[in-house]
Amino acid sequence: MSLKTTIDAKGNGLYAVAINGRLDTDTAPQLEKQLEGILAGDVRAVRFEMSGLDYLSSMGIRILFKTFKALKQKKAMFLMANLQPQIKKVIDIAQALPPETIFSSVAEADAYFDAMQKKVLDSGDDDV
Amino acid sequence: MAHRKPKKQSIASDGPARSWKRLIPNDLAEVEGALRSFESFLASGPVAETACYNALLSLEEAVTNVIKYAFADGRDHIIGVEARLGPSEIVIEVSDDGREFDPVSAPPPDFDLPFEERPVGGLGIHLLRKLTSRMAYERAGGRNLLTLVLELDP
Repeated sequence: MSLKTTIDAKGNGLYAVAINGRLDTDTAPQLEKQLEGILAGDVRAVRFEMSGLDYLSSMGIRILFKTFKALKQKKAMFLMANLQPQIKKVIDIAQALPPETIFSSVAEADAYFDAMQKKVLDSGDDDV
Repeated sequence: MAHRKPKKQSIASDGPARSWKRLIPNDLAEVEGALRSFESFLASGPVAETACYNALLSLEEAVTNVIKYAFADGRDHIIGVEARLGPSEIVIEVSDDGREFDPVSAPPPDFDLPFEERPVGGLGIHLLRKLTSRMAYERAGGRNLLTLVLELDP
């Protein structure tokens, strides 16, 4: 009810996850469950679209950070785009996630993902 | 709103409710209702959006922290929360009969660790410290009492 998520698998290993509403004590378990499915599979990146996210608490940050760690372990990318000012502020003051994972637009985040994928391909050896 | 209490007559104003009180059972599922009630209280006064956000977040962090860590006996407990809206600040008090714990002197997370190596969680108290202008803790009569003061014009 208070958190609405849409997940769009882009086909190139990029999962676009739009989160809308409130990510807090009440709703964090719901997102955690939804992300588990993605993280269990073959994922190259999760990109969160956050323009509709109005409220974020430490319980929500916990899930985002957990996802960041899981993706890092898989040598996959964690990206966030379109954060409302108050959400960005909470992430900033919590010092919970690397600032370089925050992008001002979806296009910017996806371009970064594409560039990094190309780099991996060009370098010839994958993450084995 | 069944839990709204008769207000303490405080600041000179005949506006809407200036204080708010609620009893929250120690169950994370109970937090949502309390937050929405607190949100209505904040919306009834001249509280700017940022201050409202900070106050809601502070209440959530303080209460979830108590529910998650204060009780080990598996029994039902009640957490008392109270807020007062003054001309320049919001004061929030959270009290519980759980184990003694002073968030004010809790060590901060280790921010020197690379992100990948940091533990998941443990940011609630750090956030509280950053959101409030003052935090005070007291242990009296077997209860923890945490007082949070937030600026209305942060």
